[in-house]
Amino acid sequence: MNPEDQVDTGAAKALNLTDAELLNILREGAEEVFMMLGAVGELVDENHGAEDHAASQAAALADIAYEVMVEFSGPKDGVVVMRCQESCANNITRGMLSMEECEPVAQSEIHDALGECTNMLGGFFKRQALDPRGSFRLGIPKIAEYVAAESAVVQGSLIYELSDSRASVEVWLDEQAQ
Amino acid sequence: MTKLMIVDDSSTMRKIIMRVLRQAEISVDAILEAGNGIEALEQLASNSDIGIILSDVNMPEMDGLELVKKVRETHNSEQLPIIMVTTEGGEAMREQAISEGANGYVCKPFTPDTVSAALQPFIK
Repeated sequence: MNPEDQVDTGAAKALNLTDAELLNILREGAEEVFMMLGAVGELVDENHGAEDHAASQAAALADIAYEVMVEFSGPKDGVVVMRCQESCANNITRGMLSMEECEPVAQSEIHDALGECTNMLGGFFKRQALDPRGSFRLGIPKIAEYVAAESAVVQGSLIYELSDSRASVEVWLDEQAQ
Repeated sequence: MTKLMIVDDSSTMRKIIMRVLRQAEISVDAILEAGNGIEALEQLASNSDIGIILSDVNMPEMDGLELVKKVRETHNSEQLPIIMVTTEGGEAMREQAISEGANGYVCKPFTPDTVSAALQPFIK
């Protein structure tokens, strides 16, 4: 979906951002992080938090193995989330650690690598989207915890394909913040 | 030539910084690692020839800002430059780091050029 074609949601407006602006910030952050990993991510799906988001994402990103989130708090609370498939997590970790394709990857290395990726995405989002709008704090990356899932609403998500496996980058806002 | 210390609680990030230093062709004598401010001070106590520190801000035990404060009790910014490397790139955090005695600031994600530009003025 072309961001310019989207109708702005009340959700994105909670941060005084248009949906297109929010998705652009997510995209720039993801691409900077991928570039640092020496990886090229192809954008295969994007969504600005429409009601059919769950169905759309489920179709584009199946078999999620890891979910990492960094909470932000301030005038609005929410999380920046990265989810990925098993092979994508392995690829990202090997890329970050400059490992050969045949080298086994330890679970602790995957957790550390995905945590750093999400931390950088959260930092980029904070600098570009949050800092101009108030005083915000970032939390520590948490792996595989759905702490905000029941009380938060997806504001935007991008799904990337890296070497035949997929990962999503998302922003959720606490619905009480909207 | 310079001995450099990387301070970050993420071993992945320490490896990434080492790779970026190679890509940026930054030549140092040796690279030491520490996982937080306390470990960094211990390294500094036993390696008095460390010439530059690259430090994360958010770390357990002792964070990067506290590390800068402690180091500045014994080394001024010319004797031992400290470059902060962090996701926390807001202006307030940047000003706080500089006022505590940091010499520079690099935001993650970074490129070899960014790291090189921050380090080159201090590489002897």
